[in-house]
Amino acid sequence: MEYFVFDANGNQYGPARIDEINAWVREGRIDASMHVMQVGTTYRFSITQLVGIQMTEPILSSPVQPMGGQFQPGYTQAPTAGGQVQYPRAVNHAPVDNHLIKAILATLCCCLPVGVVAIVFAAQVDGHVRRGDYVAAQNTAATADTWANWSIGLGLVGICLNGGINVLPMLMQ
Amino acid sequence: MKKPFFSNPWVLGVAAALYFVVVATVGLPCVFHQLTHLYCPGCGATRSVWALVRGDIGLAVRQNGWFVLFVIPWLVGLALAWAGKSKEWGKSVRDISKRMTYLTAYSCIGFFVLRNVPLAAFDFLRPI
Repeated sequence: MEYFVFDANGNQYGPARIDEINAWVREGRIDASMHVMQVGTTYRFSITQLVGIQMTEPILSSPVQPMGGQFQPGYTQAPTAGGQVQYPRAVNHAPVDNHLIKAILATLCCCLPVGVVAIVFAAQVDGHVRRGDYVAAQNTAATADTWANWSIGLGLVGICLNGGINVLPMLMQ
Repeated sequence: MKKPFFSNPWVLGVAAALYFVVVATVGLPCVFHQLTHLYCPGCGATRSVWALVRGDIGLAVRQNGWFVLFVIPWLVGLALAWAGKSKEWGKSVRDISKRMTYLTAYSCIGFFVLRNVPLAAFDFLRPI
C-alpha cells in the first residue's frame, strides 16, 4: 500500500510505502502537520492517523520542524502528473552524538585550549543535523571527539608533568 | 574505530574526582598556569569548591564565578536529565539540560578570553 505525503505548503511527495515514510520520520523529514493520501483514493488525512506510522516523541510534540516543512535535498518533489520518478533510497541515520559534554569536561578538567577547539566543533554538529547534512554532522562530531581526546590525553601528560615539576621537589625536601 | 579507554564517561568522572581530591588536599599548583601564565576556564575551581564546602559562597564566586554560576548548575542538570531518562518529567529536563550544555560551552570560551585580558578591569575574573 502506497501513500502520497503532503506538507503544510501543499507540496506532494511519494508515493511511498509505510516503511519508507517511517524512515523519513526517523530522518526528521516528516512533522505532525503533514497529511497523507492513499494512492488511488482522494481522501487526505493527518499523517498521525496513518496506520503503522511510528512518530517519534519530539516530532509529535513540535508540529513545525526547524526545516520549516521543507523537504531537504535528497528527495525530489514528485511531479503532479505522469512521469516516473526515482526516489533516493531513504537511509536510516542513527542520532549523531555531538560530544559537547565531553568537550566541556575536557576543557574544564584538562585545562587546555585544545578543549576549546573541541567545544567549537561539537557546537556545530546539531546545526548540520538540522540541515539534514549527516555526513558533515558525523565528520564534525568525529573531529570534536578527536580534539576532546587529545585534550584529555594532553591533560594526562600535564598531570605527569605536575608530578615531575611539583610533587617530586616536594617529596625531596 | 576503537575508542580510547579514557573516553568512557565513568572513567573520566572517577579520574577527575580522584585528581580533584588529590589536588585539593595536597594543594598542587597547575602546570598549565605555571608554563603559560594563562588562566584556563577551570582556574580557581578547586579553590571555589573549597570555599563552597566551607559555606563561603562569596569567596567561591570570587575564585571562579563561571564554575559556580554555570558549571555546577549544568552538572546538576546533567545528573537530573540522566536520572529522568525514561521518566515522563525527564523530557523537559533534557531540553533544559541541552540548552544549558550550549550555554556552558559558549560561556566557557568567553570566560577563557575575558579572564586573560591584561587589564585591571578584568581582575575580578581571576582567582586570588
